[in-house]
Amino acid sequence: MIIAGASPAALAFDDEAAFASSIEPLLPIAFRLASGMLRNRDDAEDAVQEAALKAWRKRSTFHAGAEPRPWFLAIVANECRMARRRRVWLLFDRLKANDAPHASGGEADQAEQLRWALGRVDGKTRLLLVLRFYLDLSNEEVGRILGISAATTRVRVHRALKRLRPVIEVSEGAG
Amino acid sequence: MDESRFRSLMHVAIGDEPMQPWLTTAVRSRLAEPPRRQVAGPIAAVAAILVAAVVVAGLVLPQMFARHVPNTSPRVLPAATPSATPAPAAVDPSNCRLPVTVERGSGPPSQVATQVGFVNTRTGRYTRDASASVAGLPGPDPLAGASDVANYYSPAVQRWLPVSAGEVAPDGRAYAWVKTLPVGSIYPNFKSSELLIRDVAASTDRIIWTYAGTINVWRWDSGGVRVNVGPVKGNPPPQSWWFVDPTSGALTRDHNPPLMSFPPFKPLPGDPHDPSFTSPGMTAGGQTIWWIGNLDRPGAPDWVFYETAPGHRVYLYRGVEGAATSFDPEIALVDSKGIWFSDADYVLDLKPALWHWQLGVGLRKYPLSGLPSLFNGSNAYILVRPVGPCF
Repeated sequence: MIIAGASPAALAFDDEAAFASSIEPLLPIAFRLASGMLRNRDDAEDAVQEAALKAWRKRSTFHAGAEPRPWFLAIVANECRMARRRRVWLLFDRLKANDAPHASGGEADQAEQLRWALGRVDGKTRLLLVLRFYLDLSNEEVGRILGISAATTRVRVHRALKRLRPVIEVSEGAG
Repeated sequence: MDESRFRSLMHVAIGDEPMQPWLTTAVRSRLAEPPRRQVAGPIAAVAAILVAAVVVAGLVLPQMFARHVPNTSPRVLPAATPSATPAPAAVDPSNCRLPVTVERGSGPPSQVATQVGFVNTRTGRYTRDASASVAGLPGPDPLAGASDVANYYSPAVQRWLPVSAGEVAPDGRAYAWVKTLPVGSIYPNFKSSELLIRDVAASTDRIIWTYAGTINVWRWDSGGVRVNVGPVKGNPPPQSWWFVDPTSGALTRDHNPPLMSFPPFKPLPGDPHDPSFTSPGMTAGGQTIWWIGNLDRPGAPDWVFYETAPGHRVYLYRGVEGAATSFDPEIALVDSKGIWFSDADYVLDLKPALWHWQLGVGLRKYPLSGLPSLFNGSNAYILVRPVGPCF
């Protein structure tokens, strides 16, 4: 059975092999999401594998005609959340003592400050920022992944950006 | 910076490592694995049943027994702190009511529900406050137009409040909130903001600052209400930080704004090499509480401390990961008797607890009972967090 429609992939639920083939186009973006959330290659790879397995087991939750990408990314996001929770990732992060941010204005310093800021915000905030500004998804698609409206997404993104202050100041709607 | 620049910076900060091709193969292999619950044959099935029976007996019987034996006293752990004379206080932390939020979740499909109530610290029993309401109280987030969530309980006014601990006055009788103007406008259409002080008992609001932009409340302590301000949108200059006198509205520029909610960790000689660390919060004196540990490495140092001066540490706990008494704090809440902590370990061992630390007394663990049941969905969890002083 092929459930067709949404980009970038249709999903096949005939068997595990067919399902693995059909989610293949989604794996790169899933890996990027997991990398953004977990910031560790090994952990991201584990999360994607685990998410794929859970997606197969939860295939009954996929509604015919729905877009595969938000459905699968929601499962990846949840797997990352649970991975962080299991390891208290939210709290420990992988910040090193010598990662202390500096106040000078170069791009490398700003990126370092942003890494720090991303490391201290809660998981929901980081997920919003990664989906919206790292994966460049629209408010509509972010909303579908999170199960909220585009308008609510916009407000939450605004709040998420506020939480980065004063480390990073972003003027929304510009650029 | 604008959004385009921010996107670029996100890529630099997170990195753009490409996915390795082998991951596709790994996913295929993972999906092709037989279900782990599958048994190989009758002998394996019998063996599995016997093992399961032993495991279930080991897990369930002690809990069943425990239900008949009320837990009447918290476990006391040795304090690793210098002895000191505790300040006199009216409340015994081992015999008071602690306001808490209880968050349950599972998914996908996502389910999240939060309720509030109190923990009797003598028995560890949680009781939901089904009548909790913040109806009629303004704030905290006019951008979302929502103030219907109880986030803090103030014994001083005997009410749940819609703001977090950092926005509440030290005496618990008022809180700071922000109204965006024109009334009813939300981001990005509001033009200015008012910082207001809500007197809860009198049900009055007092404007103490109007600013042509956005105001963010950071923390209300004995020094006043610390806020930062900036433009609503556009290309903003760096935000400015201020202390606002909650009585007079007098403004004092804060020239040392925090770079983040906790400062860079500075290791000392003898510290673990390349430690993982975080901060669950601050002490009443504004000192950052540090937690060094690594839940993935049993035997690794598991320390919780704050510094009274650079290099002068007061240890709340000093142990190793994996120890029976391992203390892994999540968030901290200060009250008159010390510091309450939620328990980050709960998601690992499913034995919900709260912790309390008091100078000169040490650290105590409070096992909890009476919590709502877990959701039936996958990845179910419960988090219990202190949200007000014990009373």
